[in-house]
Amino acid sequence: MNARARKQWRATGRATGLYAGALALAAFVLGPFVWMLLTALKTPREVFSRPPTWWPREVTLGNLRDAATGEFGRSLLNSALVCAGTTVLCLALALLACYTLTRPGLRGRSGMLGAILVSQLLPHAVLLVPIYRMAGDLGLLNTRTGLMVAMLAFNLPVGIWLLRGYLSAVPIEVEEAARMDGLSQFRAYWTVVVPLSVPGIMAVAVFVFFTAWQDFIFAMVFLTDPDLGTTPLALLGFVGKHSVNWGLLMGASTVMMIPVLLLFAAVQRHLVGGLAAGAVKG
Amino acid sequence: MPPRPPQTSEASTATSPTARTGRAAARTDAPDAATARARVGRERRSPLRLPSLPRGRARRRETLLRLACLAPPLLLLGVLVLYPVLDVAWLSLTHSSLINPDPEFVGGRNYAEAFGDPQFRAVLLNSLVWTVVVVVAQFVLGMTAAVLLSKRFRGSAVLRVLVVVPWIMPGITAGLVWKMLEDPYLGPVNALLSGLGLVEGNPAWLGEESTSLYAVAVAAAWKGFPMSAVMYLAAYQGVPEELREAARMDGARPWQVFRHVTLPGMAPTIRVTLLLTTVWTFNSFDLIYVMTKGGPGVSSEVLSSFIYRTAFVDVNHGSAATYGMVSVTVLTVFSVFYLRQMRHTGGLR
Repeated sequence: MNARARKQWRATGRATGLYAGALALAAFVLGPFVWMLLTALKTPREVFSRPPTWWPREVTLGNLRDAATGEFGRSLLNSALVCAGTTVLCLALALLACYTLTRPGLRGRSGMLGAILVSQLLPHAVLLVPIYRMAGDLGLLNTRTGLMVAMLAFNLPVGIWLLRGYLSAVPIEVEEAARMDGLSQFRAYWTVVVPLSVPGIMAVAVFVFFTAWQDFIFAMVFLTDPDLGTTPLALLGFVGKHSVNWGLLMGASTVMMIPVLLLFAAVQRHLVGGLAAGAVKG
Repeated sequence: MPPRPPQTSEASTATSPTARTGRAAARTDAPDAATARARVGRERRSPLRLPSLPRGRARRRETLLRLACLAPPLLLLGVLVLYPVLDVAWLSLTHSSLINPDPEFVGGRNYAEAFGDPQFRAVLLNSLVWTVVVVVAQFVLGMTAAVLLSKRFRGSAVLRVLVVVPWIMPGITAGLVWKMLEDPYLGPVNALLSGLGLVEGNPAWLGEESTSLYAVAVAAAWKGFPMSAVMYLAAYQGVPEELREAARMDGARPWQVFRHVTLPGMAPTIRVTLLLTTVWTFNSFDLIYVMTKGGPGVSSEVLSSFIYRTAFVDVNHGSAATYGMVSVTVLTVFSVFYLRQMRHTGGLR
């Protein structure tokens, strides 16, 4: 074999390895997701057949239909209300905080940033007991408002931190130009800097919404009234003690994931990079 | 993400008088446009670019405004984060129950009981195993995926987007899906493994004390590694290609290039990512709750899930708070490292 043939052979080997790796990664990443979708389309008989099948022999939409209506449908509405509420509250407060936190000059700002950064490292389980007791004293258990505010305990620090990253990416010259036009610093922030950061703000909103959407630790403790139950609680309700209706459960899981997929698809470009940069560089 | 404005040493010098004159320029409410423009000229030359406070009365007003903006979110965080930590510290010294919900001071009894309890020690060990296994798996998977995704091949752009799918699957959904995947009879995991001749019969990975924790850890690694992959990919691409090219010209083999050029360049990202995944893994128990509820026995119980169980299933807030204090202590150590790293990279300015 001459040198050129060897080089070509090596290149082919490299390419094959690359595609094999890519295929393995794709299978690993998507496998469970595809399993969820396919199981949702199977009839109950096929779900419980042994050995398990991947591809449904007989496609049914019954699971998805059952999941989207009735009790589960109402839980989707409950979740949407609570998560939208907590997202709006979180963003309003974070935008306010970031007016101060994106510009230097206030004494102790660095310390405050450190405190906010560290507060997102605390486990939800630890915060839950005191928050639960507090909410009980205030009569906020079993209310949507109570849950919305309680979820700010873990959403607000993250929201402030991420938002700060996006807002401080706006070149300072833009704000200076607005100031030259006679706007106060505060006005310039709200009418120039904030609108310019809308893609980033939306990305943070999606992230906060998503965090709230998948929470069930707080919801389990706060909401005992089944009429208020959020989607994760409804999902857990489907899990029986001895048998599980897997087809329905996977159907419901699929339905629960649709809004998340749509939201992430909308902000995907802005979110992923921002998260990576936010965690590392601040 | 658009590039950030360069952040020079403004934090340390922002309050020095020279900095104030230099930087307040564009910030004072000077009606005279010409003066303002002249001052902006000065501002341009100064190395400090972020706005500082104006002077005099305007400065006081601006300070008040900033404090007013910071007050509502900070107060709320005080109520929702700071107070709970203090309350947990107090509750850990008390005893209460479902019948007697008023905390009664018992001193260090909870702590003595906790550390004398073999169950609690088992949970601590589980937490360690769980955290190490999941973090290492996420690192290996994340790094492998990042290196793979940094290459150009047909479909690489699509794969780069699809890799985040596990991460955007809600934890509860991921837990349920993996519970079914690992079901001894209905799941494809056993079908696959016995097809390859690796297992006999139908082992219940989640139902055996010896495997339950690891069976959940697989799901946690799957769910969490995309975040690491995305971070590592960004860091990999942040190392200039010229450096790698230069090393190759000097005759370095691909592994050597990775080991001596790429990896050192990625080090800050790797440190922070490892730190964060460790904290997230240590804290999280949604997958555990959904897949095993900590069982069988306490074989897959970690500190966080144990706190939850003690507080809301056993309704023993005192002991739960004691376990919570142990958790807070562990996290304080990580927080110190994280803060130091962030200060080092200028993230707190």
